[in-house]
Amino acid sequence: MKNKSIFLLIILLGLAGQSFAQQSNGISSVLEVFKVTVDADGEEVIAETTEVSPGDLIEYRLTYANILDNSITQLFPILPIPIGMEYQLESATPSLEGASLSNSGNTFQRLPLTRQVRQPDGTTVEEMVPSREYRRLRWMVPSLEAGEQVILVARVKVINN
Amino acid sequence: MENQTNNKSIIQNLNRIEKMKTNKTSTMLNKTSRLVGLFLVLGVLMGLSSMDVFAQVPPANTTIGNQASATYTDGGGNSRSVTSNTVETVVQQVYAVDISDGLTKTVSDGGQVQYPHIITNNGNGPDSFTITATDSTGGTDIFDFDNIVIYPDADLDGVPDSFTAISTTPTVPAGGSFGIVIVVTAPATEDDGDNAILNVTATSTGNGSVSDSAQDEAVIRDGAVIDVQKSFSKSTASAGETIKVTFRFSNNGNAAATNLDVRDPLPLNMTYVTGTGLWSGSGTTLGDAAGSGDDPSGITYEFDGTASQDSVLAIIANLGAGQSGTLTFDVLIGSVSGTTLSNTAQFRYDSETFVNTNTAKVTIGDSYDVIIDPGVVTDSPDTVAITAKPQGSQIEFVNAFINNGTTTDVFNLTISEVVGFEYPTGTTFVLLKSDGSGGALNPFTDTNNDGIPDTGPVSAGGTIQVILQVNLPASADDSGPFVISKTATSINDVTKSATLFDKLDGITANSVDLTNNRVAAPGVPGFGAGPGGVGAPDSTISTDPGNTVRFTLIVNNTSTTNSDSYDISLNGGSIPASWSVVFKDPNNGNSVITNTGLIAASGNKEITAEIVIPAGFAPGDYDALINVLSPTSGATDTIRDRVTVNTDRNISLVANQNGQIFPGGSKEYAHTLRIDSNVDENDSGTPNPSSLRLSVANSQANGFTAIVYWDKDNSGNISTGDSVLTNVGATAGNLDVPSIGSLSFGDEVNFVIKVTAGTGVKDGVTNTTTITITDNNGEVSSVANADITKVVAGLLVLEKSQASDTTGFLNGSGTDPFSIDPLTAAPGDSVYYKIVITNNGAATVDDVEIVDTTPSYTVMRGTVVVFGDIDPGGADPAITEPGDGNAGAIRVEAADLAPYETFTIIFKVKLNE
Repeated sequence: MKNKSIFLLIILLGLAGQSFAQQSNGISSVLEVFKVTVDADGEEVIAETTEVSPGDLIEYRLTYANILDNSITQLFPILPIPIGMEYQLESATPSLEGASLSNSGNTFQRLPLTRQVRQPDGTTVEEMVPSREYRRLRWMVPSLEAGEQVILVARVKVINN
Repeated sequence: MENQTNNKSIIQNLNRIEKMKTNKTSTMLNKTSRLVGLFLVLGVLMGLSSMDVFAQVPPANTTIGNQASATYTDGGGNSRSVTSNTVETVVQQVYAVDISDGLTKTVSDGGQVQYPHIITNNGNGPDSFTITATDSTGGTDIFDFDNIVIYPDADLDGVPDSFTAISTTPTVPAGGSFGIVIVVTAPATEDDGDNAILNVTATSTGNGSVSDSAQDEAVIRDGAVIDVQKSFSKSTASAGETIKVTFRFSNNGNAAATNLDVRDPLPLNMTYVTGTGLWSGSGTTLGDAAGSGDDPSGITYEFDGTASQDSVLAIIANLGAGQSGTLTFDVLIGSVSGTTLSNTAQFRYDSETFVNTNTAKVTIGDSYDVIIDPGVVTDSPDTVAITAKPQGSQIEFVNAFINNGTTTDVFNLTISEVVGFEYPTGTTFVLLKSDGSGGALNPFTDTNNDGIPDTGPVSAGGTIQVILQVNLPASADDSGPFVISKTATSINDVTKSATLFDKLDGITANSVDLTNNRVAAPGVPGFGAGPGGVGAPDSTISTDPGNTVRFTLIVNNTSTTNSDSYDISLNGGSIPASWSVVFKDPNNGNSVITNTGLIAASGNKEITAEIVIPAGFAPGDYDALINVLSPTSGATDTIRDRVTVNTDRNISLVANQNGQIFPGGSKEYAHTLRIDSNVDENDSGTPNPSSLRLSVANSQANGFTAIVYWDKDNSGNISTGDSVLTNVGATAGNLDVPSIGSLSFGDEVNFVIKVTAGTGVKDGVTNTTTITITDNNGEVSSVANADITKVVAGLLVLEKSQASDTTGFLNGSGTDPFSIDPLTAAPGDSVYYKIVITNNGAATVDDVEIVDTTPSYTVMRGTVVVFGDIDPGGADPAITEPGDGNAGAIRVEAADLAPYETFTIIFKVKLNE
């Protein structure tokens, strides 16, 4: 009990500033946000943005670069779909390895995500899960040689209804 | 917000359904229709309850942060993770507004009517709204109102908060509502049944193109005109709180009303409190049972809890013109915090159709709290403890907090070092989401734009796992413990927070063991197993100077978890600077290395230490302290390997020679004594010193002398200053080598032996002169040379010279053009060679044979010419030659050559073009 009291006192005195650090480990990971619009000629215009409105189409662009001396393998990038965003099906390039309906967990399923829904008559039918419920996307890059980089893209819509 | 909006629209829809029914069929609200409506409500509400909170429109100015993460496998087979930068996008404001549906009310000539409306901000940011209420101008109604005024009704009780007219609402938060009450006055001269329509519009001030409208209607009644206003005692109530429901009713008409029938279906989360009914017409409590038996006179009151939706039903038998009153009861608010409960009642009188009252709203207030999840605590106080981990480890503390509030909340996450228990410098911390079972996922981001990472929404009673990933620096090890605090703070009530402590008991150091010859393993340690380098040598190799020795080293990574690499170097000891020490990889072509490369945990690597001992290096023990040191983790070990250089005593004498002399002639033979020992010879200071002696002897007992000189000037000849050391016949070993003094490795001493033959020595006699150097102390092996001297009476001398062919070998002037000087000739030129053979000896030489060849790149021209004293009798000598234009040997044989006789050979060659 004596030790506990001393420990608590130290804790109360020791509220130092927080620190968060980004890992590197020789693999650089850069995430960028672009807004996708269509001009008067019907051509897509993509511009980096920091501001969006409900209904806007957004493109997340994720670049991994191997700045190690050696190749790496089994790179599994995971892109969360933030609150207020809705993943646009088929918009990911390269194709997704899987997606998850959960913010957490290691369960990723192949796309499109489906689920069993029980009907009033007791039978179950398989239904497509609305993309609005997708919470995380996952790719699989088999290997990345030293000096190489890979760009992964997915589009989301800012929810407006 | 969505629940509230949908709830409201559902009830409004229900009201519309009832209104249509009453308009078209004038039927009573019966239980069947009520049940259908209730099913509708329940069905949609159940749907609502499963809706994802994440599917809501993001509020204006919300910063949507995102951060990707990835795992991968590095070249060493280790699983690694990396997180991206955080990107932030700010949501811009959009505007939308809803105004509640219009009401139809009766009014007497000249009477006032109140139309309550609720304006809801359906945009994603705060907004205010201008309100207009104007008479219809379309000609579909009969009259216009005398007066139209808009009053505020912030508490949504259907009654003006004040009588200060407004035309614009205050700022309404996204999803929030603001009430207004429009008070209109009917003209005094209208007929029964005349109507007037009021157009009400709310327009966003943020975006003037966004608006919503409703239509209110007033109908003139000559008889009774009843208005019923419904209100709650609070617009915001806590879960579990009891609030009072009040119906204010008044007869503003000109005749008494009979059977004022009020029916109030209670929404979900609003539970009737039995025995709380009160009517202003009596002082006694109303009975909840059906029928009037338990009620005061003049009212029939009932609480109907038997149907799917609870309802309060009351019939006031009579309400005279100008009379007013109240009906109240209590309800208990449910626990679905954050929900807005909307409630619309219906009433009728004089057996007319039911109409809606205004809609009253109460919002269930939220309470916020957060507590730690005691299930994760392993140590006191409130601590998650992990036992010591290897340096450079990535550790994940699984923490959990519980939303102890009544509604969804967001918790800011902060970490703080604990003074006295700080993690090593260079440690990094990342707050990661959990997969729910302790697996780390993406980092938490800042979802509410306050600059602090947060959990995002956590439902009431929900648990959020927070994983603190601690990346220890590769270089640090310490006994610890290390503690960092992690606090979750409600963003809605910053006084509510909970703190957990993450404690690491210590950091286990990486380790390495450098051994000789064998892998270190329990029970079979290699030489030098364990930390070392300071004691006796682990391995010793004895060798002679000039050799190369190789120690087999095994670098054992004894860390059980971490792979590591090590610099390998000579780090102290007594290896002389002139020695070469390199480390080689025997499994990679014996390439020279200075680092082991990555060695897996519990793995090892073989290395060869190659040490070159220079020739002649002094004997002794030379220790190499060989060190391996991880530049990453600092793990290190040293081994002590010893090279013992043997004493190597060796001297040499060169060289044996041959010579010819005339009888009475002499010849000099040069000899060199070389010291190859790695200790000083001829030095009394050396342990087991040597004492060198030189002796000389001839094989012929008579006729020859041999004298040994010390060639002090190293000229190879006897010259002034060279001293006589000994001669044949002297006492053996009297050469005074000690006077030469100490001789070290590589030292050389030159001698010249002069051998002389007496004049009487016969032709062909051979004498061998032996020079011997002996260690008088027997420490060094003796060395000797033999010079063989042959006495020859006849002695041929050959002289070869050359001349250009420009004038021929006998030129016109009669002078001899031949010379031994260098001659320049171009390709295609010809050159003459002349060989003169003379017998300078004292006796005839028999069977003389002279052989020469055409030089390289030449061919012979013409034929060989021979002239001179050719015996016998001037006969032609036997000549063999390659012939004109050919290369090859030229051979001339003569029978014999008497003393002082001579003959000459001349031939011509041409340089190739």
